[in-house]
Parts: sequence; C-alpha cells; structure tokens
Amino acid sequence: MELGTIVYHNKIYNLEYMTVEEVKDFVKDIQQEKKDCFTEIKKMLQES
Amino acid sequence: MEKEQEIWLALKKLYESAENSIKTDAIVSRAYTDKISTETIRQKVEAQKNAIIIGIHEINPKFQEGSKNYTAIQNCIVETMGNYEKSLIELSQFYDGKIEQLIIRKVELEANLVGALINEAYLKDKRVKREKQKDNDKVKNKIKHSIKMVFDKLSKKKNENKPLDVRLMNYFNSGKDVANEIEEKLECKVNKTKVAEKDNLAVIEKIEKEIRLTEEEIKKINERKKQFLLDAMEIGDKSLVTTIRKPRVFKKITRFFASRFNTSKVIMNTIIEPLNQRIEAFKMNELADIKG
Repeated sequence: MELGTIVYHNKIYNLEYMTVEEVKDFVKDIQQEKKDCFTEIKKMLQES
Repeated sequence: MEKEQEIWLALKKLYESAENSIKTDAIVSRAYTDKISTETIRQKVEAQKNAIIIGIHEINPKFQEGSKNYTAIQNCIVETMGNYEKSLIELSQFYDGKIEQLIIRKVELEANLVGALINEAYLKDKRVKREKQKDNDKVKNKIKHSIKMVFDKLSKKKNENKPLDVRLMNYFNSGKDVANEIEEKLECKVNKTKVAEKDNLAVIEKIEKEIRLTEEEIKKINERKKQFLLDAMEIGDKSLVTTIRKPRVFKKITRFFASRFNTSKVIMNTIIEPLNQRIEAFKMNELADIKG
C-alpha cells in the first residue's frame, strides 16, 4: 500500500518515510487536537 | 449576544476544520496500521533469513557461491522465503481489513458528532428565543392588560357596593381562559425544545462513547495482529528473537562431520523442507481458520 504524503497545519508529512513511532505520535497529536476542539465547543455550549 | 456570536463563530471554525482533521486522522490511522504490519513482517522475514544463514553455516561453513548446487539451494530459499512473506502478508491483510472498517465507522461517528454539536447550539438558541417569546408575547400581554382593566372595574363596583355587570364578569373569565391557553401553548413549545435538547445531549453522549469504543477496538486489533504475526510459523517456545533464530536440529550436526554429507541435500532436508511444511501447515490451519 502506498502511503503518500499529507499536509497538516502547513507542514508536509511523507508517511512512507516516517517510522512506526513517528506515525503513532502523529496520530496521537491529530486525535488530541480534534478532542480538544470538541471539548472546547461543548464547554462553550454548557456555559452559554 | 456577544457570547452567542462567539459560539457560532467557534462552531463555524469547528465545521470547517472538522472535515480536514477527521479525514487526516483516518488516513494517518490507516497508514499506522499498515506500518505495524510491514514492520512486523520485515522483522520476522529478517529473523527467518538469519536463521537459515546460521543453519547453513552450522551444516557446512564452507558452503558458498561456487559450491555444488549453491544456485539451486539459493533459488529454493528465495521461493520459500517468498511464500513465507506472502503468508504473513495474507494474515496481516485480514486484520487490516477489519481495522479499515472500524476507521470508516469512526469517520461516520465523528461527522455525526459535529452535526449533533451544531444541533445543540441551534436548540439552545431556539429554547432561549421561545422563553423570551413566552415572557414577551404581545397578544398574551394585551389580553392580560385588558383583563386587569376589567378586574379593576369589577373591584371598583364591588367596593362601591354596586351590582356587578354579568357581561363584564364573563368577559373577565373568558379573557383569563384565553390568556391561560396562550401561556400553556407557549410553555408547551418551550418544553418541547427542552426535551429535544435533552435527547440531543443523550445522542452526543452515545456517539462519544461509541467513538471511544471504536478507538479501543482498533488499538486491540492492531496489538492482536502484531502478536499473531510474531507467533505465526514459529517453532519451539514461539518467542521471536529479533536478530537470529537457530532451529534446534542443527545443534546435532557438528563441523567434524560436515564434509561427509551432501551439503545441499542436508540443507534441503533440515532447513528448507521443514520451513516449507510449516508454511503449508500455517496456510491450511491458522490462516484457513481465520478466514473462516
């Protein structure tokens, strides 16, 4: 499977050349950012 | 009002960024799954290759390029290792397929979550507007005002001990009924929105729980896949040594006897054939069981 490259926050990530650990950390960062975004929205809605 | 605007702007930002981050998460998660498979398979193939090299060295350290039947043995090893790797890839693809389905499911759930959060803001907004309407309804207030005027007239007449106008009393009662009916309807609308809000919160909670469970399941399957790959076609205690693995049978053959044997035949019988048999047994048993 060709993994290709992706752009995230104006940075290019070549998934093909990244190690397992690097990709694992990258996934964690993306998921954490997403969760923080959802949490912030929920907090704003609760406080309003 | 400012707070409301803040929320709607944040929701707009969420909606715009959500599509990108959900998609990126899915792509990178899939890449991670693939990396685990390729890295584990690479480890196993390297270990098996090293085991073969060590085994051949133990049979006859002088067996090298130029030796009798070297090319034939080399070709056999290449073919066997090809089958070995192919079996491992088949095993990993089974699990990767499952993980892919879960990743797709997670994308659906996250998209639903974005929708539910936007819906929560909308329902909150609706409820506040309806509560304001309930308090400030023009028709209701006008009727209440008229009722009050009639009530004041009736009170005045009673205080002056004058006979009460029945028509006025009926007008007062009807007005009261109409005002109550309007109040009830507006209250009903507010309650309906409150119920919808409560239901939407329950939906959000349910989606979040399912996302959490899906993420845990993906992690578990990745771990399970890695372990199955490491255990596949192993002999002895099933633990994979990352650098070399020596098949036990080679310890019986010492260098002293090496020159007395047909090296290529010994290699075929003690290294290549047993490995081929393990590969076939794996395909017929574990791989077949997994595929069902």
